Amino acid sequence: MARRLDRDVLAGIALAGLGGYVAWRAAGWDLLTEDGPGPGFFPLGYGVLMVALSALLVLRTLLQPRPDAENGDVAGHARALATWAAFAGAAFAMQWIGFVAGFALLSAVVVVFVFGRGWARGAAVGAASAGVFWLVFERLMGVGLPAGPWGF
Amino acid sequence: METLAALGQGFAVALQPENLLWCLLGCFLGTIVGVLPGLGPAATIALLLPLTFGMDPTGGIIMLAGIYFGAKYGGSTTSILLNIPGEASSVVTCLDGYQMARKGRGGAALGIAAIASFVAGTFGIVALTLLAPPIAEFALSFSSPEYFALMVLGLSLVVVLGGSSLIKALLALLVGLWLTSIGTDLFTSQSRFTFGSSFLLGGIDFMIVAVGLFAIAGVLESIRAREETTALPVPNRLRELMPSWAELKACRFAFLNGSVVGFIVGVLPGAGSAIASFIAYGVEKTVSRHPEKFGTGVPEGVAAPEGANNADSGGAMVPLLTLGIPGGGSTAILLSALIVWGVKPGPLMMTESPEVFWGLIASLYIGSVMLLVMNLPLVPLFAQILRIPVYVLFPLIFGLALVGAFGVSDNPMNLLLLAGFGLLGYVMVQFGFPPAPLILGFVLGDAMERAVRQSLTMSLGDPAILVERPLSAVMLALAALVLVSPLIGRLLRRRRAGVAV
Repeated sequence: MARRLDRDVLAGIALAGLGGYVAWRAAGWDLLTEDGPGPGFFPLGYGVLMVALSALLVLRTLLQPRPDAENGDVAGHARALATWAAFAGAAFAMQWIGFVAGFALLSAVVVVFVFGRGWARGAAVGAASAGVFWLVFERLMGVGLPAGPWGF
Repeated sequence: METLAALGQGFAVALQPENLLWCLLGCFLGTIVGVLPGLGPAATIALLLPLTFGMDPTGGIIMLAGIYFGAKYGGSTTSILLNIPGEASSVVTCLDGYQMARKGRGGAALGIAAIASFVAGTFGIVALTLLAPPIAEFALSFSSPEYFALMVLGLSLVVVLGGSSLIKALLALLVGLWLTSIGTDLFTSQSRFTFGSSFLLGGIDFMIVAVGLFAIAGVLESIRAREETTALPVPNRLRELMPSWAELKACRFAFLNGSVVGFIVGVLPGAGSAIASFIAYGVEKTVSRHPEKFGTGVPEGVAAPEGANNADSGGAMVPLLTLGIPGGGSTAILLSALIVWGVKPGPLMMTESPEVFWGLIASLYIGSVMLLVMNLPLVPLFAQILRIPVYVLFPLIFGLALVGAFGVSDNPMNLLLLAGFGLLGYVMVQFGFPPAPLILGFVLGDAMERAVRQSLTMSLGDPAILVERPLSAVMLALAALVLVSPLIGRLLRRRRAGVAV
């Protein structure tokens, strides 16, 4: 639970920073004009509220009694974040290598590295899933997926 | 009588072969994706939304409604056969549904879930049909201050009822409001929070936010939790899927209970089907002659929550279609989809787009029948999806999300935003922040800002306009009451504890 409490402090600080940024930017725009509220009016309101609520979250967390610590799921988070990194990397690379190759690589990486299956299975799942998606979305439904240097 | 005539016209629209096909396809796809563990209705709608982009508004909305209802049906299969709730509203179904499956009555449990969903879902649609016209007529008298107050009230209910921490839910809502401010201000053309990027001038597409927050984050969370999918067997013959007469008789009250509780809770913004299913289960257990058997595999324990889960959908459509206010993540995505098609949900929808409004309601009736007819014989097929290894399923979900992002535009920045929102959704879950208030803030943010700015323009900058008009004042007072109610409750509990000591 202590880990959770620390997380609340971290989240509170991050959100207070975001709220402060929002309020600071909004204060630089028109707040009230002759025609009514300006573009800074609404963001200033929720930015200030965000700072206040974040401070409340941090204070509440620090003032609460801290229960015993619980074990964090480090391996689980590592697995999830590795998967996310593969997803983000493939999404980024698709503009150069195209959807089919990017998606095949993503599927293979998830199968091999996240689920610990062999390369053969990874290659089979990657090729099959990318092929099915290309057939259904590109060929049958006409969705314009990005193409790589090899034309698909 | 007028309502019946309008509904008749709606059936004329919904029964067109093309629309029937879209409804069937929506129900089928919604059920298939809804069966997947970790993907609730909101993620399902967001993932499948791009499939409807090329369609005409009526067909697209009919298909989306089918997806929404189908996803709710699909969730029960995962709960009963895997003991993994596909979404929060299916948690209670696990209690008795999985126990029935372990006793070899999995087919009957799935059959009861389908029948309860049909009965309660139809009740919810009938109530929606009867209530929508008078509510929309009443809402015609609303002006900007009333709309602002209504949105504040709705969002207050969402943050209080939707999460365990009021502060965190409010903060999630505010982040949603900020995200929707990114782009060009519609009143003054001032660019806001674009960080100098021309890509952000047009704002962030809601689909990118919804798919990232719900679908990508859902898969990441399933991978973290390493959810195993070892499904219990399902009989293949229809006769074995049908509950016995005694089981159906035992569920009589559960069907009614689930229908009424589900609809009433569904109308309330933020309460959602999870609360509806818990309340219906609690009521059923309280009035039962054998409450001690609940949790050991009684059919009423499946019928009541599954009924409430589906009647909730009809209830949630009431504020969405008549006021333009979504009550949860799924209806927020539906609202955005309607806006994309140029249909503006609210009191004028019935007069401005009657074919869409009544066509949608008629298609809900048709979809409900389709789902019952489809679910009983096809449950073994849907259950087979659970046998597909997760290392195949999860990349497929990633693929659907990526195709959806390309459907929005071919700008690669959208893909990076999608990944970013996926990470944000995952971090939010780990830190205990509910994602539903964020998506609601994102969807309603523009309308809320417009309403408050128009109100203050009307009053020449005097904020008293928000509390001088009776209806607006009542709604804002109710919102304040809703927001302080957890504090009052805590104080009362402390006082009671003090007295007890």
